[in-house]
Amino acid sequence: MTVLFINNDGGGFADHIDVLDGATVASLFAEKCPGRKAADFLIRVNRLPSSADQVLQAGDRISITPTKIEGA
Amino acid sequence: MHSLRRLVRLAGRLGEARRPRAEPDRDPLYGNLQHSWDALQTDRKRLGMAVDRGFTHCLPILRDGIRLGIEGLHRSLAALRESPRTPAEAPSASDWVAELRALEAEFGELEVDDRRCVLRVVTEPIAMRDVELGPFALELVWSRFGQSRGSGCFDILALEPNPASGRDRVTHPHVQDGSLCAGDAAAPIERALAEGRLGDAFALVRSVLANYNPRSAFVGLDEWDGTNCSDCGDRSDRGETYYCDGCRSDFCEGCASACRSCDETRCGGCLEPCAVCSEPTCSGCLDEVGDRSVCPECRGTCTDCGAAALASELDGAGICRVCAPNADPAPDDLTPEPENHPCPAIPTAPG
Repeated sequence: MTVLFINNDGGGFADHIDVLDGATVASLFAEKCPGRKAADFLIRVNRLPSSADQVLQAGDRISITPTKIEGA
Repeated sequence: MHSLRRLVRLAGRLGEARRPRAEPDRDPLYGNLQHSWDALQTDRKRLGMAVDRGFTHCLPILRDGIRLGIEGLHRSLAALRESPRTPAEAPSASDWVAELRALEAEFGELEVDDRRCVLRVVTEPIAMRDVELGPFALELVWSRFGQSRGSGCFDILALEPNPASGRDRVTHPHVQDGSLCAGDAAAPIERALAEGRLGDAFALVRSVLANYNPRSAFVGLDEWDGTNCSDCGDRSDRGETYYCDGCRSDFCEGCASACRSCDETRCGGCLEPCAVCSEPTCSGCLDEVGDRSVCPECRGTCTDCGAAALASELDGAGICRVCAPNADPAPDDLTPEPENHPCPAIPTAPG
């Protein structure tokens, strides 16, 4: 199934991606942000706060936004 | 909470103001890469100046800054490498409304000023390293879409300002004159605004305000209420430091000086003696006359040939020795007299 994944870490890209049925917020985060702590990000599904074990649905909009990002 | 009708009307205005997606040659990622590179070069230059002048106190900080700068460059390159090639679709009216609703939910209250074209939210009070900076209002000025890039569309207003010592315009380590220096967040903020993702843009701005990057802050938090002299290392209290524009460092009263000519504050390392009067003068006031660096008081301009000359070598009418009637060539002329030129000018240094 396809979901919209918005990664505001780095370039801030929004992309439609394929995920496996049954994928959760935690599994998607681990795949897209290896080695990073989920606590350092705002993770929203369809613009709402989500739990780590929330199962993704086709067409969901998932955004991750770093809470520890440096100004200049 | 705003009514749906109100939000739909607002969505229309936002949609009209939203600028087209950035062209490839204005891709914010390239700007971010350039910024990272420039910051690294600046840090290298500062380290070199500190080593040359024996400012040992700040060397560890500067070396750490270079290490972080290299990491920032690496991140910028990685972001560029991973950028997608397909542009995002323009947000629909329902997308805008959803974003506005999400903003209300995220920040508790969303204020709209139609006259000023402003969306405004307020952060929680921000404190870092025992420095209380207070809450900030984040104002998105949507009329700037297409004119300013990314964080330039935001005004950041300190609601309980606690500015840096001696720098009233700096209300946060990364905010000066209400403008955010977004650093690593610059590209994602710009992309979020370009794609109508208001919630992401506001969240990123808030994240920058909640963090501190000592490497490139306008004023470091360890200097917020006072600072260590960059020369002798002694600590000076708030309001008792002197900022040198030449090397962009703070100095105590004992180590600060001033240009004899323009009276601007400078440290000893940024002043040079005038070749004639030996008074300490900044590089902006010194000018070359022949092979000598001379202050404005010691140099003049020949009223006849217009060339720069030492003031002591102009006569009462302001005419240089070469142009003076019946003048013998001065034995210590700084430049040879060119042929076919009645007034051998001593060249003025450019700038």
